[in-house]
Amino acid sequence: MKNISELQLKNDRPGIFTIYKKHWPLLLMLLPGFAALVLFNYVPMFGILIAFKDYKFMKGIIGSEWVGMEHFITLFSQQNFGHVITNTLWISIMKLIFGFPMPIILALLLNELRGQKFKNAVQTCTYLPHFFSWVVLAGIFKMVFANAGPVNELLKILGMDSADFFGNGGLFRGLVVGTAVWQGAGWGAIVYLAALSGVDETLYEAATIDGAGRLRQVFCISIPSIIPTIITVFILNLGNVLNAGYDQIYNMYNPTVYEVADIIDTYVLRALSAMDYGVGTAAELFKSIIGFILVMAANKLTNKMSDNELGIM
Amino acid sequence: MKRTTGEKIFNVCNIIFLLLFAFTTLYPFLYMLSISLSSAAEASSGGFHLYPKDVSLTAYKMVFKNDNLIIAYANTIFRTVAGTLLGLLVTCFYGYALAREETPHKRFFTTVLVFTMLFNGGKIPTYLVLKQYHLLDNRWVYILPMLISAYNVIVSRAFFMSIPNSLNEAAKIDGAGEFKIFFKIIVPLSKPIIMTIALFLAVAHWNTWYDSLMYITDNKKIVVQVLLQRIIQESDVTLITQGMINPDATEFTSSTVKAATVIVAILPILIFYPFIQKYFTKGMMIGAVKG
Amino acid sequence: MAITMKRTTAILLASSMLAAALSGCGGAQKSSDDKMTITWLAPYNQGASEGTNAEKLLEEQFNVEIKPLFYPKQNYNDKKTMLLAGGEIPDIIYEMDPSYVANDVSQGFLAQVDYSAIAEKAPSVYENINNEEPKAWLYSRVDGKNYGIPNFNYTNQLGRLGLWRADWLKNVGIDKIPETIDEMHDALLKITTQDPDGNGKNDTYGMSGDISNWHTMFSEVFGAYGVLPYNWMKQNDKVVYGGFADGITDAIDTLAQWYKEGIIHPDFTTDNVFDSGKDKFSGGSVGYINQNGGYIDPNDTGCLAAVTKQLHPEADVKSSKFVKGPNGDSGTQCWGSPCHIVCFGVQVEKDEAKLNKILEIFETLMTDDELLKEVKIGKEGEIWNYRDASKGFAGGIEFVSPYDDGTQLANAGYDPSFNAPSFFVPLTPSRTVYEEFVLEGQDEFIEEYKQAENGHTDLFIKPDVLPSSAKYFENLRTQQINLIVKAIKGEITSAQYLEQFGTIWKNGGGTTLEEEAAELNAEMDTIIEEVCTR
Repeated sequence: MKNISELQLKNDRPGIFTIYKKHWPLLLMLLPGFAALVLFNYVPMFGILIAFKDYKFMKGIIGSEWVGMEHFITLFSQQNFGHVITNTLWISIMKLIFGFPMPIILALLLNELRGQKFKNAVQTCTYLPHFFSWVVLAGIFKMVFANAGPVNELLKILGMDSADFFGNGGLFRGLVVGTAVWQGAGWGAIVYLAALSGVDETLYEAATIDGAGRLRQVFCISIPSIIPTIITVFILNLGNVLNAGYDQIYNMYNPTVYEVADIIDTYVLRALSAMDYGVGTAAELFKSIIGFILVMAANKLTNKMSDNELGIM
Repeated sequence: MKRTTGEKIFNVCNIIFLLLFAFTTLYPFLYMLSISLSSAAEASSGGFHLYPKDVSLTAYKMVFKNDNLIIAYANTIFRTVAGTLLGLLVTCFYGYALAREETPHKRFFTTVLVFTMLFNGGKIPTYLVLKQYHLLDNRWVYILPMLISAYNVIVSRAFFMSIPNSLNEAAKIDGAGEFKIFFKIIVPLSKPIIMTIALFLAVAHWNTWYDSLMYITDNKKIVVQVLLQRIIQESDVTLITQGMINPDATEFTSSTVKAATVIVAILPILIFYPFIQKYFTKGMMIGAVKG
Repeated sequence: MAITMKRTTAILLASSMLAAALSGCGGAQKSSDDKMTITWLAPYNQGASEGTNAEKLLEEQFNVEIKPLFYPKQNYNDKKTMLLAGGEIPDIIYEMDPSYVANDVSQGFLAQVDYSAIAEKAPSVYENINNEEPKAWLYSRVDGKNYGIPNFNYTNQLGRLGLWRADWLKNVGIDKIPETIDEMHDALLKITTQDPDGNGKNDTYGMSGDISNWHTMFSEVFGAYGVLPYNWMKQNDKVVYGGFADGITDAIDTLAQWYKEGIIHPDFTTDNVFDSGKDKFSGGSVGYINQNGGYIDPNDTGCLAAVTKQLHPEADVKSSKFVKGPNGDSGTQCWGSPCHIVCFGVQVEKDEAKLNKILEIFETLMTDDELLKEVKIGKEGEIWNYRDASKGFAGGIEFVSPYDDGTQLANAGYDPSFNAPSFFVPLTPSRTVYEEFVLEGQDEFIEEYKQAENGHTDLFIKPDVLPSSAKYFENLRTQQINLIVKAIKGEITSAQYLEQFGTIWKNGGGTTLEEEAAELNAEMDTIIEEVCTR
């Protein structure tokens, strides 16, 4: 009797080694990636300790003295730090609000184009800005949006006041968000275009036969079929919410707009010495933790709303 | 197919909007191309620079006369090709395994992956670790640390999940092993996402220069971007000679040479995209296999 | 989920332990034979490899083995820090900035070197510094001790140059290049309003500016009122920060008036003197520019005057001295000749033989001109030829192919700049040698327009010499520039600037900087006495 029940138990919940034995090919597929993650991502993470230490190279990270939360206190007690956080959040949230839907819209619009050659040409053009560094782009923007530049000429023709894009705080923020959205749209659209190409063509045919218009097809077929991709990309983007785009701001910024454009990274680099590794690491860790919390929360919410269908983990 | 008036209006507006947008995104490329082909004086005359007024190849001659350009290009091509192929294999294996219901410890492997997207050890600890692995001044430093990235895995997993499980089961009944299923069934069905990931990896490899600058000292192993930055710094020997300019001031390199280095650096990778575009055509997935 | 996280943490911890165990070590390098090995790190000739002629020449003459580390100038400090953090400390460590010296001293990487050791083993090097600018010793001084040898760049000492469109001046009825601030105002105003290019459009401005390169920002106007707004100055025998010095409000008021009159181009906040600012002059939107210091030769085809003439054949570009203010002050900020520091790895502190050997090399390079020239530019006839042998170096030299290409020349280990440091000659040659290489015609030009007294240097050469500068200064300066721009645009008055910046200064560590500046100033005389009386 006892034997039988044990046997049954074994049958209901197979031992871990039985599972491994059965699914070893899948585990083998995970192995190279897992090894790379451990070797190149997890091993260097001992460096996070620097955030809590007075790092002296000669003593090594382990040998350096603990300073507890001192670096975090230095970071948070900086004059203007609250201001800097507000700027960072403002810029990155705006980038998320406008920059996240833009690639989706672009992909859907491109998907509606009929001529394949034209579509390919437009698509190729839109992803070009991804290949230019912000140094190059910032140089071009400074020319295009200058006070005597083409954009202001256009405003003049339209009878509007000229706009000081690099001197006026509000306009500068708009310019930062706008150019970031513009730069990322074409590149970001690629992943959605890939997802759209996976949509079963017969669905569109059936819809046409049923008399559904193009707009209806977009909302009833195209969008629902890329929803998983949209949600995945959104959750992944949330992790970056405290990275407002150092490279972009650093290249476009000038002292007249520092009040609205100073973000955590530019501030840490300028106000604290670039060589203060402890505070620098503390700032990075702070950003990582906030990003991690947001990703986890968004993931949980998505899982709850979609019956564990759409979350990333 | 009959089109309503609304649809026609939409089509026209759509085309106009996309054309305008494409023009703005094409403009930086035209601008750099035009500057790189101008004479030094023309380049500093200000203005819109849509096309070069008097074509001059001086800047390109300046860039191409460097002996090391070929070897630097070879290094960049090596890292891009090898890095993309290996990265693609590792990424798709990981993504596919995470997409399968049966995989043991799926949560664990996903968490381990996502965690790396948000936390990193910092510049100096990374350097110390790479030094311990003997990867400094070693071309594998371009490839191994970039084998896997959370973003690519998760995007590929989303696609693999949309492939119906019934295909697996049918194949298993026929006696196919997991690897055979992956290469014979999954890969052919997943061409759009595989090409997308390949594009992401290739572009990332092509554009990354920081690792070359920091971890490589041997001139035979540097990538083309680093070499081009050097050309910018050392372009004008006649000015540096005899103290006419301060050798520390790279600002004196003419803007035409700077623009030429930008074009030389990005042109080869730009050609890659049109090549893979054909995999994005609608209806790649044949209705029948959607089950 | 919780279990997963625990496991993740465990993995993380385990891998950290492994890494910690791995990274504990790091050792000194030893040479395989009896020759002394000198590891040599500098941010020059980044494309070169071990075994160049210059290296062999030094190795033979001094019976040493040189292991050169040719690092890139870009991100040099990062890459250097990584090398040091990995436990490999070169014997010669080139430092680009006094703040990096201070940092590397605090990390224990650099050897302390007594003034007496340098004076004894490298007397010409020592003397050259004391003759040129004894204040340079501040660069290598940390906590009252010396950690290296300060270096020079003679062209950095030359002031900038004003350039005028003389043809425009003529078109608006002015025959003479302005010499006072009032004449300058008059000329700029006429250029702005009287259509000097005769195209019938009101599209010209007097001048633009550059607020990103703060040292060039309207520096001739501030100079006319005797102020360096972002540097430490001595006024009435007291150390003051230029942002509060006498004359600052007058200078700001002048600029605000000019802005109001439309003399200053509205793009002055985004223009950069190295690109768009320069292009505004050559493109014909402004009639005057305070040009950056680089070019000495006005006849060079790449220089601003030549480019302007190529674009506008009618242009007549005239160089000018900077204008005099109401009290007769004039000039601009200039960096002064001290630049960079040559330091030694900490192991050299205990290795007297090695320190002496390195000092011997430096001393010989300073005294033996033949060796110096061969290390810098190679042999005549092989690497280079005189343009006109009768004039010597003053007539110019030409490099033999393939060395006429900058990269090829650098890859061969050579460096033709006698005004500045280079890889195998890390200490800049003496001023006499440099002057031998100044082109004929250049010296008169320098004499006329770029005299040293036209350039005003920070009291401590560079404001970052102060110990707390790294912590406070850049942030304060950014806010100061922001306020000055507001004042120029008329959003605040110059009195409000003083008041608001005063508050920012007090709250942002300015008081500490002031104390340190006063202290350093008092100490400076002692330092100079200490080094000069040896």
